[in-house]
Amino acid sequence: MPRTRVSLRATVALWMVPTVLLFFGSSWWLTQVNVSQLADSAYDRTLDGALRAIEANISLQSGGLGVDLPYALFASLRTTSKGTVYFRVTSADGLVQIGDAALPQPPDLKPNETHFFDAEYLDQRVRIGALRTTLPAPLYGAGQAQDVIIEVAETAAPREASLELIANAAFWRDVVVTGLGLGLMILGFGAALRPLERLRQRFDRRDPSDLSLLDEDQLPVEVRPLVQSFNALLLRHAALAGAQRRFLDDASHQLRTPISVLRMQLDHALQTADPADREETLRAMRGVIERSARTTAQMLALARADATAIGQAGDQVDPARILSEVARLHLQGARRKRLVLDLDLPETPLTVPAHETLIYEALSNLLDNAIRHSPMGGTIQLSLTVQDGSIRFGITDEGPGMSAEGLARLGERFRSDGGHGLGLALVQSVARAHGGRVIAQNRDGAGLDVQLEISRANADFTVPVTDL
Amino acid sequence: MKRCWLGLVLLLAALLPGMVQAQSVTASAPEDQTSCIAPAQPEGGFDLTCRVITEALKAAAILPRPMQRSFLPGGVGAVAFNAMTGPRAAEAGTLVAFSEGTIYNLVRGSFGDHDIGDVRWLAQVAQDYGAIVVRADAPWADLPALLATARENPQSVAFGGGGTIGGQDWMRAAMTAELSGIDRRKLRFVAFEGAGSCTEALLAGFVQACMNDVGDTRTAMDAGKPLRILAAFAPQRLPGALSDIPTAREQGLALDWPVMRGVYMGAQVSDQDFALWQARLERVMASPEYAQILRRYHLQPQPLTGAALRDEILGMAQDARDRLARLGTS
Repeated sequence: MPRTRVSLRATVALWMVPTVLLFFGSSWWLTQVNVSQLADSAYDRTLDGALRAIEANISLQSGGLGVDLPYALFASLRTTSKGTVYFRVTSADGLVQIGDAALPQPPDLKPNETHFFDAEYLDQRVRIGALRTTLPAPLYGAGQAQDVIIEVAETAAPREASLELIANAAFWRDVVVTGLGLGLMILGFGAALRPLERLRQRFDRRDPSDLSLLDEDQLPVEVRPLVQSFNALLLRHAALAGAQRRFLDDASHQLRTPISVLRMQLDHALQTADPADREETLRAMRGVIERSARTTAQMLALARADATAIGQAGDQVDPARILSEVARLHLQGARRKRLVLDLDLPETPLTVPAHETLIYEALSNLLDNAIRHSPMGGTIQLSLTVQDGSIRFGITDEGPGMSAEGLARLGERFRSDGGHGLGLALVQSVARAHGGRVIAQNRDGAGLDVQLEISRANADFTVPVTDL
Repeated sequence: MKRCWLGLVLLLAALLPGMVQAQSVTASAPEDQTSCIAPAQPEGGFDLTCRVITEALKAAAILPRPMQRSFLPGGVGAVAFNAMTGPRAAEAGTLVAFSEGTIYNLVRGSFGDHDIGDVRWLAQVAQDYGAIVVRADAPWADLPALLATARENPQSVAFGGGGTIGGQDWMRAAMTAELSGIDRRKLRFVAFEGAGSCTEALLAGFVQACMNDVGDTRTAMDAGKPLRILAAFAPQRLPGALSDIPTAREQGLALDWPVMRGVYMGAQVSDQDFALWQARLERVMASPEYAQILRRYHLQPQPLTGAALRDEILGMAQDARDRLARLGTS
């Protein structure tokens, strides 16, 4: 069952939509991540500055832990970030705590480690910078200097607002770029499909009987093989149509004359009172009927040959055997005219791809012609020669040969010159079906030399276009 | 009087020859180098305590050299308490200011592994009351106005005070919030090393209200700081020049917050030195100059020593425990 085919546009869209979405999504996501990292690092630097300022303002001069808080810095921080600033200084032992008492705790820090993290404070998201630093001297006589943890936090809302601004800009930029890209792609795809559309119109405008080939010059390379295949199909159809037409022509042409002759003879036989005359007439009718029967057989073979030329490859056959069998078949007829059949076959066995029936029929026709045109007691030479890419069957008689005009129009049908016409047309068709040809020439002395050449290669049996 | 005390010391030295060396060292120290430590940044309540004591001692001319005032900030007294129970526990010439907040912190354990018996409580020299202080140019006319803003937008009003969560100023803020229907978990409380630091932050606009006390605030205002007291946590209006300050009760907030202004000494100070200092302070606190000094610093007289002081402190510790339990903070 053939699957339902979607249009090329739909297929391209099906592939392009996820691709575009992927590009769009990744671009947007990367922008988000990059921008938020950039913004974080920029904002974190100011937090870091505040941390360092507080650290610098820690004083142990009194023997206690005094911190002069840099309110001016906080104020400028608050002004620039448009948010709220929080801070806390805690000694690691928990005794001292200055600043926003409920500010979230930082994770465990190593001495001199600065850490930035997001947290929630007073129902707002805040960005907190935390620094752990060791006091320059121990407090209240402890064994070693205590650590203090300094935290500075600011509300994340202004930072997020600016991030959102950038993200929105990036989003709309991506939307516009993607939209433009899609638009261009749709236009481009339409342009790419236009030759196909024109091709369709050419098909639509075509006359039903027009079997001429399509011109592929102006088509895109991707479409050419399709058109070439189509042209080949067209050729085969034209050939087949031609073959059928010829068969009909041949049949009507060949049968019309004998039928009218037979009608006249029949009328004569019915009218004559002389029994001897009637018998003679009936005998004459028999000859006409036999010739008509032969003609019919030839026409059927010819039709088959024409159809085969459009069709398939043949089997591997032995041409020498076919020639011998044809000779044996016509031995009786030759003997009646006391003819000598001289058979010359190659010594090495060989096979060629061919249709045995067609070759047989063609050779039979040629030999039949030769016998009929040979003088009493003559010689007919039958030969098979092997060449590089082909083999040749040769049939040579000692008859009167053909007129120059006959030779020139070899193989044309209805050139009714005593049976040569239809037979040679058949031979021509068989030769073509096997990628070969027919060469006919008059011999120097007297007689006709006909060569049937067929290709040894597994011919594709394509009929040359010009022949049709 | 001074001679009399010296004579007693000399007599004791003669009677107990084995103690002469040690006694002469410790006994000589208070006379040469005496100091009052305010365990916070300057200009807070502890500072006020030390100013009162040094000025009163000076007025009474008891000491050969004026007593020094010094500061030992850190944990609203924690650093000083650890010093006076550790390396400086035997300094006979050193007094350290304390308040009810010190008791609160001890009860909470935020001074480390210490309790009330670890130092020698010398005297309460004055009484003060908690106050809510805003900048002179603050938009709130009275306490209800401030609390209304805090109720509507808790983040917009940062309360500052000495000590951290669980400390006395936080507790005052938390109870104020609770009594006026504000979720105290939404309260922004900023801890400072005493009222002086809070005032600094208040003036810098970093906090909007300070849980300072009447005395230190009025003293700072006398020095030109643009401050305003919205309420005093006193049972009734304070006398004299302070009678213009409205109480919290007047404004619908039933909370009193008496503040203790006292001094303690190191744990290893001898009974003798301790008794010497106690006698000195008792004498000073009885003098008329002392009352004058208290008025100058806007404090109320409340001289307590000995057993009375101990009872007061133990009662305060119990109060602290109760209040902490009520607020669920330890």
